[in-house]
Amino acid sequence: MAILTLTDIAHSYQKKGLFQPKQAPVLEHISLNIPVGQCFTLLGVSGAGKSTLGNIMLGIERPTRGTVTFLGQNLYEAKGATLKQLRRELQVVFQDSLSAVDPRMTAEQIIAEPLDNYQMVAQADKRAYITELLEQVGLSADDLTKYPRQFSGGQLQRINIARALALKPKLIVLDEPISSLDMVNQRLIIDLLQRLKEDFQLTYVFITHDIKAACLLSDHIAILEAGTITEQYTTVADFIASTKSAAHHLKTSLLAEHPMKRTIRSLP
Amino acid sequence: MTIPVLEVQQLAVEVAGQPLLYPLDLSIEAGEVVGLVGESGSGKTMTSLAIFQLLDASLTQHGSIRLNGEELTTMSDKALRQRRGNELAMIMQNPMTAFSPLYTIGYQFIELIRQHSACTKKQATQRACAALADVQLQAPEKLLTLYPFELSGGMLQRVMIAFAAVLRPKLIIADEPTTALDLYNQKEVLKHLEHIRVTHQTAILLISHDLSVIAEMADRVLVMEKGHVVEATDVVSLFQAPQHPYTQHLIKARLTVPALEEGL
Repeated sequence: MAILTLTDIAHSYQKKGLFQPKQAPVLEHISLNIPVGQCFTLLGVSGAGKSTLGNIMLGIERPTRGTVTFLGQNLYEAKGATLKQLRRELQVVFQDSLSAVDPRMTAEQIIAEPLDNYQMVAQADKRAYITELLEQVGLSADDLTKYPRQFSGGQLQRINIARALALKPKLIVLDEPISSLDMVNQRLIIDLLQRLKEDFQLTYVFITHDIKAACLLSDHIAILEAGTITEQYTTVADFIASTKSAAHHLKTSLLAEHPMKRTIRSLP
Repeated sequence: MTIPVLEVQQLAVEVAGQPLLYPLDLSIEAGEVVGLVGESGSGKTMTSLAIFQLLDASLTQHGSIRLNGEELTTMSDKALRQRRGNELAMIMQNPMTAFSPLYTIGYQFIELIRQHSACTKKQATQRACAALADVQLQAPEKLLTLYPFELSGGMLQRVMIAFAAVLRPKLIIADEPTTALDLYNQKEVLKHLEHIRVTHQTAILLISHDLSVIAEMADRVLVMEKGHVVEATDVVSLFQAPQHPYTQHLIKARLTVPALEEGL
């Protein structure tokens, strides 16, 4: 069953022109079904339109054409209480963890914001609930009163994940959640996302350019190239098998794991 | 025996008696790539800023840094300015903030060239175009008229490499040159660095937290943890038989998909 369906999506941004504004197409003919409980990965290089597509799924960028159906409702036609309920089920984690939070708020306030908007927990239980969320993502009650600047990039990304979890959503869009982290933190966040997906029965849309991260977290992989979906694989094994034949453009960009397998420089 | 391009001896940095960087030795020969690897906050960038003599005045620096045999730590600001650009250049991590947003690429490029070598504006423009063409950027003349924000991150990083290479420096410090880029652009940027190394025998200090980048490019590697160099060895030994527990931890923490790498 699909939790989110895109039907014939097309999108273009307006470019400045001398006499008439020109339309620059970004996405064309995109139809996708995001199955419940899976990690659906959008893999592509920068400029392919991954984030634009992510924003369209989130309901924050109205597509030029096509419809987005989330939980059986048209996301761009829903209004009032229905829309509010849909938004609650649909959360996001962005790449740049520092710019995704208000620098003047503590971790507790950051996570409390969505809770207050939806009056989800009673005032008296709020702190306990937030502490529980922090513990879920590997932080502790000591972190409640800290400000964003006092956290490392990896820790702050955990707070963003905790905030996304706070309303117990059904779908989380992860827009390059690990690309600005160092290796050690990348591994920790991938493991965390994997565990949370099972514990909270989440569906992910995972946007990434990192072929290895995609293999580790995905159930379903779609390759986005210059605004269109060019390939889709329903298992990681199928995707990996596809990279074995011919010179897959993403595979040829992969860097060696070991100096003995160098692709750019030969060993002296 | 030839003099190394860069020779750093017992370089240490402290702030008010509190050590930030513990004594470190490092030397790079012409045409050699030395990798500096470690997690965020391990002192990699501090080392590169110290070599460039760009540390904040509140920090105290000890030890000796020799570029082509000349001591940098005691050199006058004027002499240092003359060395920077001509003999040592830096490629920074974030191409979006490394340029001035107020001036065109061309203005900044020509200023750089004329600051460091005697030539006319026309000659400088020609050199700038040639350097941009070297990193496979299309229509360099047009590119010179654009502002930094009109280019993508990958293109800007290539422009920065052109800036660094145009004066044929003996040493390039590349501080996380690929971190802000996607896979495709990462590989392109590394290819351009390799091209510069081969054609001009440039020595490169390559700073990265990404072990794949180190595996692809480095001859020797220094592993840093909390301001200490914990392991210094050739690149093959580092990956085949990491000695220090921290290096082993770093190598283990990498995202790996064995099935994907088979037959690579």
